[in-house]
Amino acid sequence: MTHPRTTARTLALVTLSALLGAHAQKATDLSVALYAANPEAPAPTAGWDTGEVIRARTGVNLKFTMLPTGADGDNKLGSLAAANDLPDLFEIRNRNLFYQLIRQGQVAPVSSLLAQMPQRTKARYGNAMRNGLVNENGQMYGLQEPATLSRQYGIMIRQDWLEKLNLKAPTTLDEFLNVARAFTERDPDGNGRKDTFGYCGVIDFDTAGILPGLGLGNHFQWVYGAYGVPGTWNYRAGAAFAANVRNPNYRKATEYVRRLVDAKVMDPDWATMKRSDLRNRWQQGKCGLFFESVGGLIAGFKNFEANNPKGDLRFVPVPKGPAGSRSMGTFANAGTLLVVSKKAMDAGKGPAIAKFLEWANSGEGYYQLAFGKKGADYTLVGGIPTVTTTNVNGRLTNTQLRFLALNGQAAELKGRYGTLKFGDGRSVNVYNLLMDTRRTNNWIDRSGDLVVPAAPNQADIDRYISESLVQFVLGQRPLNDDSWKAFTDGLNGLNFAGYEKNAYAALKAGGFVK
Amino acid sequence: MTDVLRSSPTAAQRGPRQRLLARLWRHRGLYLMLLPGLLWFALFRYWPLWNAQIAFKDFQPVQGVLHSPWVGLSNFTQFFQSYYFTQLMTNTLVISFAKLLIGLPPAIILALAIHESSRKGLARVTQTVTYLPHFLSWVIVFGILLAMLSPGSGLVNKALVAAGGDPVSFLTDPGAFRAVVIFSDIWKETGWSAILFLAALIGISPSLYEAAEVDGATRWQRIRHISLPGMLDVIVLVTLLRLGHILDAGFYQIYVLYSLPVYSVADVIDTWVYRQGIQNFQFSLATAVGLFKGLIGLLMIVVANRVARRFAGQGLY
Repeated sequence: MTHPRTTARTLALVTLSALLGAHAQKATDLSVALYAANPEAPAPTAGWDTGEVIRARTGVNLKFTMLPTGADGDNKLGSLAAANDLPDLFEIRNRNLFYQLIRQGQVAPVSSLLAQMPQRTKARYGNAMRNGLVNENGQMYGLQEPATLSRQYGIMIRQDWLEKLNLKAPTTLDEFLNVARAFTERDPDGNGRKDTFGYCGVIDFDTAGILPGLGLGNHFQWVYGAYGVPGTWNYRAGAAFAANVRNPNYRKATEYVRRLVDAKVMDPDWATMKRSDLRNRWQQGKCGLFFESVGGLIAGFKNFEANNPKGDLRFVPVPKGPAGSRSMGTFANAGTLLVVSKKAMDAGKGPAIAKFLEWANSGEGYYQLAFGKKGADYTLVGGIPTVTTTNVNGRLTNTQLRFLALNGQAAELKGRYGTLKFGDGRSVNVYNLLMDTRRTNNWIDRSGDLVVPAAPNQADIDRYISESLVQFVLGQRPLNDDSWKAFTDGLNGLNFAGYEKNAYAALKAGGFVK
Repeated sequence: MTDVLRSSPTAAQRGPRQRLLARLWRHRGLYLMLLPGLLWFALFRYWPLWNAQIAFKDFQPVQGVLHSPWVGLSNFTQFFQSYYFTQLMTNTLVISFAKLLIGLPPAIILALAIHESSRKGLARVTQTVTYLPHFLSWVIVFGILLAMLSPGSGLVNKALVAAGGDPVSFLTDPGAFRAVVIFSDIWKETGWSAILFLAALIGISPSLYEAAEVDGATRWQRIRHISLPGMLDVIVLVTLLRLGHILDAGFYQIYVLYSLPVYSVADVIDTWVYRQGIQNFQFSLATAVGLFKGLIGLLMIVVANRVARRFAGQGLY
């Protein structure tokens, strides 16, 4: 006969096993699609360490899809939306798509998740203005993360060329043109050939942390900033609110870019080049001045040094315009936007999503997603995560979900942006560089741009303005009173006034303009 | 046994349905081979026609194709009233017709040259070398063009500068861009297009050439009176098929090659649809334009077929 105590133990064990079994069965499949944190590194494989940790800690079977960067990622999400097959949790960068999905009822309100992830909500979703960017009809339709790494761009200069040609770093637009001309014409690399360019820039809006907009793109935004018209909208005009393209200073800035082109200080291929082409150029030592990010500097530094052993790159403060204005460009105080599909919410996956995101916000989850495996990929040195592995691709693969975790605080940035050591013993603290570009370049917060609804003919508007400006600066169109008037008059045919009116209404409702 | 034979009906006694079934059974091998093709058409050509109704709807994925609200012709009018409609149509037609008119003769000439070559080894090498570019993607071709035509470091421009001239921005100059589009297409596709014409030439009976040779016909006379008439069917066929796609100016090529400075001469219907329809997620608009292109293509085929039958005595159907 079995002893009653043994029976009780057995019963307790069976009950415990049943409970554990039930817990194991509760593991929730969660499809997550995010833009690749590092497109050059491979996507995580099925047997991914982090996936195992997530399953053990949160009971989530993570199915992670890496979205391609740029328009390809938007197109992929658009196709999934058209097939009514959106992932459970996903990132959206295209605001037009975001608002379309809300209208179509494909994304769910997320307010109910906030209480289920208290620490994350406290750290990230407490700013009413930022939450206003994702509100529609009084409902919160997205988890708008704060920007963790904006304003990391600046104009870089070849300090060694400056010294060789006995020049000073430019502080005004005129000085900028003079230095660029010297870099083009006075053979700063000393190879006996006229094969260097004063300024290297491309037409490109797709730069992290900088808002998209109309015109020539972010590599020329500092010129428009020097004339007080950076970005698309004039927030300070009150009731006279309009797009900056209407401002006479916009034409003056365009004329300055034309001067750069006419002086032949720019790479003749600039109008067709991609950002990767530009990066090749400066790494080869062809560019005296160029627009680049701190991240781009780190990524290309080794190549640059191999090609230019005595090369010395520095950030220069953004040049001033004739009236003393200056700005490197505009930024949004908003980072990653996470959205939950209605299908996922209807299927009861809300709690699993909240649990997973809460885990990613701090403690083990934060370090695992942001820096990889402790001891293998990084160690903590004085509270600063310090990369120790030489397997760069492996670490980057392990951290492809890092934008769910990153918080932009000092320890994190110091860990991500360490010290670059030159072959000749010099070193540069990249974290300090980042802080300098933020502090010294008069970046203008235009987060409100994110609430402006796209016009029905947005593609035509974008084309009209960008194409016209390119024609002006390339000399394909004369740049005088008549041609400029014809250009601004042409906006009427695109119902640009209606676009401006809608923008004003949205900005006013969001509290971004008076 | 005899009773059985007596009881089975003769062919004349069978009904039409039975005769059909018997015929199907007799040629069952052929019908079996036909089946995958029919399935392919049903799945990928006819089934999508059902979904094409979203051209007349405000497509809402949650409601599906069937239950999305009807909006009449508004997607079509949005396209027709687009700010760039006239320019898009002009660019599309100019590029497409230029590719057809300038691109067809080199393929015919190449096929004739290969066919007439007495050195068969050389002919085979020429054929291989000329059709290989067909397999290169436009991204690779763009890289080649950039290496050749870039104003900064392109070989052509270096030669121009060395000869005392000024570099030309072939890829950003609206005056030069269409020529780059058309001639790069000819370079890439001529060898591939020539295969069809070469097949037609090979189908011509050698006895015709032998008889002409005996009669003292020159090479040019043989080409003019035997080869070209022998290829005429295929030339008409290829032209008609291309006319059916007259509003397809080559999306991939132009998307890869074009840039803001040349939009005025390069932006075609497909690139506009990509920006406005796909990147702005207006799938109904994109479908409406697709239908419009299909209708124009059909119209072109019908008209061109009648013209071909009247003047060349033969057509596609």
